[in-house]
Amino acid sequence: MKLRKLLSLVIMSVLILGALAFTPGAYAPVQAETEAVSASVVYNLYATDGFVKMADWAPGNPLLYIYGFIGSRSDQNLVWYDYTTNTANDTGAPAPAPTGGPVTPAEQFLAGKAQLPAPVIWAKVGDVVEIRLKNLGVHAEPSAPNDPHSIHLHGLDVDAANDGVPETSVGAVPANMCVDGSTDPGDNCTSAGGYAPGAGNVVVYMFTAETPGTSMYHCHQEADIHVQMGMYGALVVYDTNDPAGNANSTFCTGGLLNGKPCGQGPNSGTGGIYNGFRYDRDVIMLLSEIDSDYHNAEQGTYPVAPDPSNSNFGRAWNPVDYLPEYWLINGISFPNTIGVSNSAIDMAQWNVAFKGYDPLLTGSMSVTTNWSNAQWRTRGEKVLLRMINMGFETQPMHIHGYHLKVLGSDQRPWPWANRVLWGRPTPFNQGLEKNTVLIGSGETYELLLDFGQQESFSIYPTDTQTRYEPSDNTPRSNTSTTHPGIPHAGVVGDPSYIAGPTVTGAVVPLPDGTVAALDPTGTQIFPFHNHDDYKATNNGAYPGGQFTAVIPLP
Amino acid sequence: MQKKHQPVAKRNHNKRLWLAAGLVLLVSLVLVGAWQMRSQAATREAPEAAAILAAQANMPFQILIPAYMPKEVIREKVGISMTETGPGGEPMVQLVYRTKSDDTIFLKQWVPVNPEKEILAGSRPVQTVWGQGYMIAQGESLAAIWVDVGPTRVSIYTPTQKHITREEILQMANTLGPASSSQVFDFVLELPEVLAVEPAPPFEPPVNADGVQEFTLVVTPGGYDPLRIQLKQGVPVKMTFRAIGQVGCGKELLFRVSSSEVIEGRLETEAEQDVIEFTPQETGEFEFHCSHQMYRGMLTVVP
Repeated sequence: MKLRKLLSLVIMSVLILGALAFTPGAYAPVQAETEAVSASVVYNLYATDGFVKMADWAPGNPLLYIYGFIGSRSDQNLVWYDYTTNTANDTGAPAPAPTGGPVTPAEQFLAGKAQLPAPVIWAKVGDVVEIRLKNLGVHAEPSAPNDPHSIHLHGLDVDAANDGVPETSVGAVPANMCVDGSTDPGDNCTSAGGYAPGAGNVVVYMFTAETPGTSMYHCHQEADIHVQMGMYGALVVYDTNDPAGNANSTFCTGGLLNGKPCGQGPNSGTGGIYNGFRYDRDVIMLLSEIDSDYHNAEQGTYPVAPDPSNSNFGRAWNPVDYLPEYWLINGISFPNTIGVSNSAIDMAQWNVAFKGYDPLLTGSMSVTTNWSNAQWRTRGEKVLLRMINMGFETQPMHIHGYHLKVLGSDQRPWPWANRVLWGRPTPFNQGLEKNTVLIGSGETYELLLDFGQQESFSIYPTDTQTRYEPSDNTPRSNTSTTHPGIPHAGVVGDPSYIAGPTVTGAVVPLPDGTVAALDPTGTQIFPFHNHDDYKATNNGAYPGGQFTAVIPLP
Repeated sequence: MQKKHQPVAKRNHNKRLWLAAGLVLLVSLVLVGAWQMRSQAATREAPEAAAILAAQANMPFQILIPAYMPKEVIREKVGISMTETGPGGEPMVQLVYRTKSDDTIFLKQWVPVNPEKEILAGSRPVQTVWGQGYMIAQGESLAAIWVDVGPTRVSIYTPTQKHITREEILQMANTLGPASSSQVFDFVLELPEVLAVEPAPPFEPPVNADGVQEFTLVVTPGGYDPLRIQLKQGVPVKMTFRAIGQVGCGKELLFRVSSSEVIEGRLETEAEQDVIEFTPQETGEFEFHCSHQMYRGMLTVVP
C-alpha cells in the first residue's frame, strides 16, 4: 500500500512538472536593466585636410597645413574649431552619417576642416563601437596629394583585416577622385574616365570594447606622413560601471554624480575605477610633435632641393631629417595648455570644440567625495592621467610637487599597483610611483595623480623673487597684495605668466605656526613638462611646448 | 526460526503493480516529452509586433524583425531607437534585444544610397537566403552580419559570441520579415552553416578588332584591380599597368605568365604607365604580385 502511494506521488509530480513546462509564457522573470548592458556606439568621421596655428603664431604668419579627421559621436553635436576666426562652431547636429558615393553637400561642408587632434572615441566594456569613415580628399590645399586614409585601432588587438593597415588589411579609403588621379570636377568624374576604384567608399570599422584602458587611433596609410600630419585621436575604454562611461552607472543617481552628468566621457568630472583605484576625473595627455618641414612638403611649399641656403638639409624632404619645432599636448602647446588665450588660440572656444581634451590639471586638495575610495579614503581629488605618446620621439614627462602612481600601461593594468598588504590595500608609497614618466612612441600609461599630496597655498616671503620676467630679463619680487586668478581654462592677465604667484600675502603666517586669511583664489602652481627641456619650447623659445600646470585648489 | 513464505498470488500481484507503475511512468514521460517538443516547436505571434508597428508609422521603409531568435532573447523588451540618421540624412532604425543573461543583439536598418560603396571592414562574404551578405567574427567577441533585403540594409550584431553564435546570427538574418505578419519561433531543426561566398568570376578582357586582349591593371593601396584575370591561350595581350595613390612596393610588378616566365613592370611615378605585351603560351593558374609580395593577384590562362 505504501509503495503504491509512493508510486502515484512520483507519477503525479512528473505530470505536474510536465504541465508546468507546458504553461504558456514560462519565461524567467524579466530582469531590471543593469548597468552592464551593452550599447551601440557610433562615430561618423571624415578624413580631410585643414590649417592650424602653433602657440607662437602671430598675425601675418602662415598657418600650418595638416591632414586630419573631423566628425562626432552620433548622439553629440559636431563642434569644430576654426583657426582663422578662433571660434568654436556648433553645427547644431551630429556629424552626418557618411554616404557611399559622391560627396554630398553636407559632407562637402566638412572638407578642409580637419581637427587636431581628432575627436576622443570612448565607450565602455561590452559596447559595440562603429566608426564610419569617408575620405573627402584635400580641400584646404587642393594641390596636395589626394591620399587614401584609414583608421588603425592602436592596441585593440583586432584581426588583421580590420587593422586599418592598407598593406595588410582592408584597403584604406581612397579620396573621391577620378581614375586619372584628378579630383572629381563635379560631374561624378564622367569627363575624367569615371571614378578611381574604391572612390567614395564608406568603410565601417566595428569592434567590441573589451579591456578598460587608454589607447589611440590613427591613420596607417603612409604612417610616417599621415601621423605626423595630424591624423590621430585618443581612444578610451571605460569599465562597465564607470560613471564617466555609463549614464546608468549604479554610482550615479538620476544620471548624476556630485552634480555632474554621468556617461559623458573623458574629463567630464565623474570618473571611474581603474585597476581597483577610484578616480574622480580622467584627463587625456596626448603627446605629439610637429616638424613643419613635413607639413610644408605635403603642402608643396618645402623648398626644392638642393638649396643649401635653406634651413633644410639641402635636398628634397626626407623623413630621416625629422627635426620637430613644436611639441604638443592634445594638439596645443604652452601657454595654451594652461588655458591662456593668445592670437593663436582662444582657449575658451577651444575647450568647447575639443571636448575631453583640456590638458590643464586642477583638483581639490581637500575634498573627499562620497565617490572616493572608501577603503583608502584620503583627502584630495584623485585624477587619472591617460598619457598617450602619438609622436615619433620618446618623452620624459616630469611633474613637479607630486608623484604619479603607475596603474597600468598599454591597455593592461599593472598588478603590483594594487597590492594588498596585511589585508588592507596600501594605495600609496609603494608600487611604482614616478615624478618622471618616460613614454615611448605608441605607448600609453594610466597614472594616478593625488591632489591630496599638496596644499593649495604656499607662503612667499615679501621681497623675494618669485617670477622671472621674460620681456625685460629682470626678476620680479613679491610686492603685490592681490592674487592672480588662475581660472580653469580662463584668461590669465599676463600671457607670459608661468610659475609662482606674483603676490605676497596669499597666506599670513601666525606666531603659533598656523596660517590665517586663506584666500581661495591664492594657489600654488606646479609645472608638468617635458624634461628634455628644449621640448618645453615653441620653436626654441622657452617656455612653450609640452608644458602644462598642476593647480591644487582648496 | 521458521521462515515465513509469502503466498504466490500476493507476489504475482506485487510484480504486476510494479509493471503497471513502470508502464504508466514511461507513457507519461513520453507524453511530457512530446508536449515539451511541441510547445518548443510552436510558432507564435511576435510579442514586439505592436511596438514595431507603432514605430513603423515614422519610417519610410519596412522595419524587419527576425522570425527566429534564440530562446534566450526576451522579445517583449525590444528597445527601438530612431535618433541616429543614416547615410544621406535618411532615417535609420535600431532595435535592441536583450537576453535573459544580459547579452545584447542589435539590429540596425537603413537604405544605403550606394550599397556597394558602404563596406564593413574586415568582413567576409557569406551566403544568405537574400544573396551575398557580409559577416565579421572577431575571435570570441563581436559577431556581425550585413544583409540586403531588397533596398534595406540590415546589420545584426552582438558584442560577444559567448551565448549567441555566428550561426544563430545568420539564421536571424535568413528569417527577417515584416513584424505585421510575423509568426516567430525560437527553435531550429538545424542551424545554417556559415559558408563563404565563391569569389566573383575572373575578369576576361574582350578581344579587340586587332585580335588583342587589351586591359588595364591598376594597383591601388587596396590591391590590384582586377584581382583575378582570365586570358585565352595563344591570343596576344596588351596590358597597361598603372598605379593610383601611394602604393609603395606596388610600383614594381612581377607578372608571371607561365611556369617559366615572369614579366616585370615598373612605375617610377604615379603618372607613369607601363604597357606590357605578351602572348600566353601555357594554360594554368599563375600568381602575380609586387616586389614584396604584399599585393597579390591571380592570372588564369585557359585554352
